[in-house]
Amino acid sequence: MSPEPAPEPPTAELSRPFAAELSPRLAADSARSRTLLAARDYGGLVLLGLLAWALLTGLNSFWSSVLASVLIWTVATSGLNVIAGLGGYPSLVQGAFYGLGAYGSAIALTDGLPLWLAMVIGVGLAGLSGLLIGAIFARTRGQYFAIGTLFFGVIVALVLNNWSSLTGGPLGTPVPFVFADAGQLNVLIAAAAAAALMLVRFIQASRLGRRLVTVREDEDLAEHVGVPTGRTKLIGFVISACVAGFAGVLIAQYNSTLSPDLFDYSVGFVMFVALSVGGAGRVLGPLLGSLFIVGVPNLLNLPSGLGLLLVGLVFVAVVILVPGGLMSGLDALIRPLLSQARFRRARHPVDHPDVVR
Amino acid sequence: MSALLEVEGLSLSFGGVRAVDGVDLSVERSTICGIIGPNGSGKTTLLSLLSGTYRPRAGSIRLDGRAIGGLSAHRTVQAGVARTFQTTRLFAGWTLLANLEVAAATRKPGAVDLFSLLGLVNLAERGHAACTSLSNAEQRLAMIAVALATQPLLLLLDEPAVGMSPFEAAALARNIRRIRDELGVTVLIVEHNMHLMMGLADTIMVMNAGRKLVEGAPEAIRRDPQVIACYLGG
Amino acid sequence: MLAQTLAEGIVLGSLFALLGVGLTLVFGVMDVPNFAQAGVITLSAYVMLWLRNRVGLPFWPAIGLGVLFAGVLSALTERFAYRYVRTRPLAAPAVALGLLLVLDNTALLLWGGDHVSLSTPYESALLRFGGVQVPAVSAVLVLTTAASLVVLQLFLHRTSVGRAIRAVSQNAEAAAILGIRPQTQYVTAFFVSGLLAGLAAFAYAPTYAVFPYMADAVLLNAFVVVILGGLGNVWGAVLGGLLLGIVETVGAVYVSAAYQTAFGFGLLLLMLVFRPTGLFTTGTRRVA
Repeated sequence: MSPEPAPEPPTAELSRPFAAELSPRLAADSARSRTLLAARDYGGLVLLGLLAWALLTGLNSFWSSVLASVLIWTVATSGLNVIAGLGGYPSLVQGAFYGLGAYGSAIALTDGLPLWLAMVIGVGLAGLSGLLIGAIFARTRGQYFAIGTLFFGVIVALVLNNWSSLTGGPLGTPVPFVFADAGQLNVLIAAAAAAALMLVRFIQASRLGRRLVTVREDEDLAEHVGVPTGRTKLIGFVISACVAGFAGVLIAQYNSTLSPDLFDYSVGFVMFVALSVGGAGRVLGPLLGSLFIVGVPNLLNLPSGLGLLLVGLVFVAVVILVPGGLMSGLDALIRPLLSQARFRRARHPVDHPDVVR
Repeated sequence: MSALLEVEGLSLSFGGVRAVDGVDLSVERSTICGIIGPNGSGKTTLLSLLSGTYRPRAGSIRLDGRAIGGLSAHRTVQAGVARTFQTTRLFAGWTLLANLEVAAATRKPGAVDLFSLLGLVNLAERGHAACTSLSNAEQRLAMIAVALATQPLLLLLDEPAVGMSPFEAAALARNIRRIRDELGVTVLIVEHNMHLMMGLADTIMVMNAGRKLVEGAPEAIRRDPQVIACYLGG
Repeated sequence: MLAQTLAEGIVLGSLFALLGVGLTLVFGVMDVPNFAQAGVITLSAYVMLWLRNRVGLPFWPAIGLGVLFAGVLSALTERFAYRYVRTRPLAAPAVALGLLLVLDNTALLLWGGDHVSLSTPYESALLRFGGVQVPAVSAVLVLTTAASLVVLQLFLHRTSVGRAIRAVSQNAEAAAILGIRPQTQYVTAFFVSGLLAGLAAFAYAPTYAVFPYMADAVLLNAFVVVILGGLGNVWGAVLGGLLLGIVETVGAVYVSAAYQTAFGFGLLLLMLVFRPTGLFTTGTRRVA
């Protein structure tokens, strides 16, 4: 259905020939450079996954377990990156989806279901909750959204603690280990981290990603250029939940036992902190943030109170001083060295919308 | 053939104040209709009702025979109504073309030549410029191009000439006429610049205190005693 | 039974209201969801304990200094953190969460994770109103809330500083044109909000234990109150607090105590679905 007559060519002699001549060449040029950029990014992420696997296998068991935690957090915070990074919605409920994925898969495995079905159940449980919460909270904005989602995290923690017949209560529940050996699980964890980062890279360049960014930048304006903002947010939120659910499946297998305090509501906001420190809306932000939040306290072997205290201090400092997170801080350091990349970015700012947050 | 836009009894109150109070309006296809009135007379609110920004409390809006009152803003855009804002609003971190692309993508992709749209508002050379590097007048025009990229039947302009010099405003008037003549788009303008409005509009509606005062050709409006009284503070 | 439950609901609601008013005050002035308020409450409770048990101050001076400490601490969070993100609304919740981590874990480092209790001179007293029994500690909580609200109203409406805060809350730009320096009002609002947090610590630490995360869950409820009442609306926060307290208590008594907080959440959901702008606001629905 075409509600309007086809636009007639404008009569201005100045603009029309210019556009006709330049437009196709630019379009081809831009498409080629986009393909190159995509090849570079996806290739880099595959290498990163291989490196992660090599380290998981090669490091001693302590460092290997720290790295595994970092990678699993990378998966969960990559999910968060979709709604909070691209969409600009400060979701504080990611820890709950993570917990639902973990408990969902653990309970399914305990009942003797095969791994793939347990994964579907864990991810599905998280996704359905995301759909429910999203349908309610997508109507709210900013601060309301943050507070509302945080509250849902509290409810999930309550359920995990109190529905003892299903979850084992505060003492937790053992998880049947279904892999042949730890090596297999390492492959899955490394692959999942790389895949999660690639997923965000893919979404970022897709129509959904563009729309999420319009929501982040100016939601009213987005509506008025025809973006269905409600649906866009909901899809982004459900994807976030599903990815967190998968991270939960991984942590259930890796830990081989689950307890509710792993998924306390504060986990949701520490994940948000991790994403913001690393760089919200940047593909590698979740990896950097998880390295920082999970890795640094372990590296320095800090008592948990001091670790979180430092995390808090650094986080406040980063938010105030480096609004784009560590990724943009790195950018600012590296960019002058790579004038070629800078040129490309200037030509196609839409691939890397510089965000004023 | 009936009018493109037919509005009947449109009303909205804010906390007891009737911002728009039973307005009837009908706008013919491919014409430019101006809305004038003192500050606070409900012009922008009327525009926001037509664009789906606000939901009317009463009344009907028909576009091309189809009822669109109460649709959300993005559905109103998809039905064929686009708007601009009093304050300049663009996705500032992006290029101009990227702004147009995201607007065009919400309708049939590729159905509209974005460069010719930019040409229509004299911005063809600026397509790859970042929005922040455009001048105020260019940003005002860019906002119109973005609205046009959604392929509207009806374009709502909220004080498009804000901050423009007389020279820039005259160019704006030429651009708006071209939008009417070359794209066949119907244009509804709220504008304080009376000189611009008298030269540009085919019909003018005058609002006061949320109600329609009179409607007619610019020449008639200029001489209408009610309008003169309203503007002189009667 | 019902009367007793309602009385307990009012006690809980008073606590929520006391906290909610402080949050909504800061939100109205500066658009900050001050999650760090929970950390202020915790540290203030520990300071009261420390002044009482280690320094050996008498009860009331220890409480007074603890409340003052909370006000100063809250003002410091504005001065050294929130001030720098005022123009970036999305950064405000992030800074608030970061500060909460800092404050809670400072308490953990200094005083450890054990649950301790703040004893009061009146802790074993029990008041009776007809068939309803109210511990003196709870009565003090209700009285503290009521007195704080009266003083806050006098402050906001009768003093020039208070009027300036209300002006900034309604329109910061217009207030600036009138020569009100918003900066002063921001610090003041945080200070007052901190005092309310200190009073809350005093009022509920005796009934609950003092530990590093003591205020987190309570503060979440206070945020529900703020949303129920409409962000920035003081009387909305009071009514919302009482409503939430009663709903949670009735739910806990008649349905399940384990899910007490969940009833508050249910209330929040209902409201977000039917009145996304708050119970006590007269907002026309914006579609976009």
